[in-house]
Amino acid sequence: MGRVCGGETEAFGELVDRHGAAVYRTALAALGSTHDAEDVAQEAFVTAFRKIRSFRGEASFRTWLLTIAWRRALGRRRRLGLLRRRFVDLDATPSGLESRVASTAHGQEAGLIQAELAGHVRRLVAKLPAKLRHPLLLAASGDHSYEEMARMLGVPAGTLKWRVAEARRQLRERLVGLGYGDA
Amino acid sequence: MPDRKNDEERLDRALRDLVAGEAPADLRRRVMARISLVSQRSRVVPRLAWAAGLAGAIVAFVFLARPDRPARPSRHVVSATPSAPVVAPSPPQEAIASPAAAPPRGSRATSRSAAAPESLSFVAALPTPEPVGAAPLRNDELVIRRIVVPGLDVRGLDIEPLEPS
Repeated sequence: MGRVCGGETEAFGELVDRHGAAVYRTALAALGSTHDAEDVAQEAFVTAFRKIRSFRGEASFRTWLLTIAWRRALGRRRRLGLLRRRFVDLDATPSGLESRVASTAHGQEAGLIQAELAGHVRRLVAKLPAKLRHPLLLAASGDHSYEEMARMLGVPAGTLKWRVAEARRQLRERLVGLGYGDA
Repeated sequence: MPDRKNDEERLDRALRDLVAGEAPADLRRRVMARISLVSQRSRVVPRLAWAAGLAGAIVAFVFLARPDRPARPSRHVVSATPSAPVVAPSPPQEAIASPAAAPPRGSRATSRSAAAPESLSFVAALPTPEPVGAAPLRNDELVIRRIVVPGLDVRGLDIEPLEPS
């Protein structure tokens, strides 16, 4: 960090290597589009580099960086109306997710079942309110601790845990309605 | 119980797949390219703005300091000529006191051809106007004289006296 503050851009490159995946997945959780997530990840790193002197060390650099990425991703989603296009309209457009799951699952039948479930989950997640959807997707990425997510979303960690649990409960309930499991 | 565990695992996997993805391999290269672009721009733009401002100031100074710079024509005609009396001064007392000195009604003291210049900007300093003004009431008759100013043609007013009630 000290080298970066001293103007060493190569040192910042090391930070990109270290946190690139987490930043990218954070943007992906908010946007649902790999292309937009790549763009936002780059923007987040550039913004962090420009504002590195305003980083006061109240949180870790990683949390600060992920918060920048998350806010930029939400801003982009608001601008482009991506939420509606990417999630709600999925009934009409097949997602790449289903085929990806199908190709990686063991066995063709299991792959098809998992792909179908993924499609339902995707649609149901899109219908969750934002305050439940955001924690659920961030937690699903597995990149963040609850403390990090709480800082990124600006809510207490306890509230965040409750929201993740509540989102999962609602998802399970609706999946049961669709004939998945007996939860 | 195992079914429920399986369902949870499948849900977890579906959620993970929803946000799964690897950052592009050349993310570092792209970010560094953007950063160098931003750095260059942040260095160049202020210098360009400063140079443009300096050049503008020099051009303005050279233009203003040029000795053969044409004088800017005034938009105000009055400011280019000495101020002319618009309203005639009060007539002398003798002109008012002696009705005989007044010209007959309807007469024109100056010819129209002598007046009406094409542009007021060519009007020189006007001479002292003749005594003009309104005569006092005389035999229930109001006499108004024309304002006679050389170089200007102002039509007089002929007002009929009111009928005594």
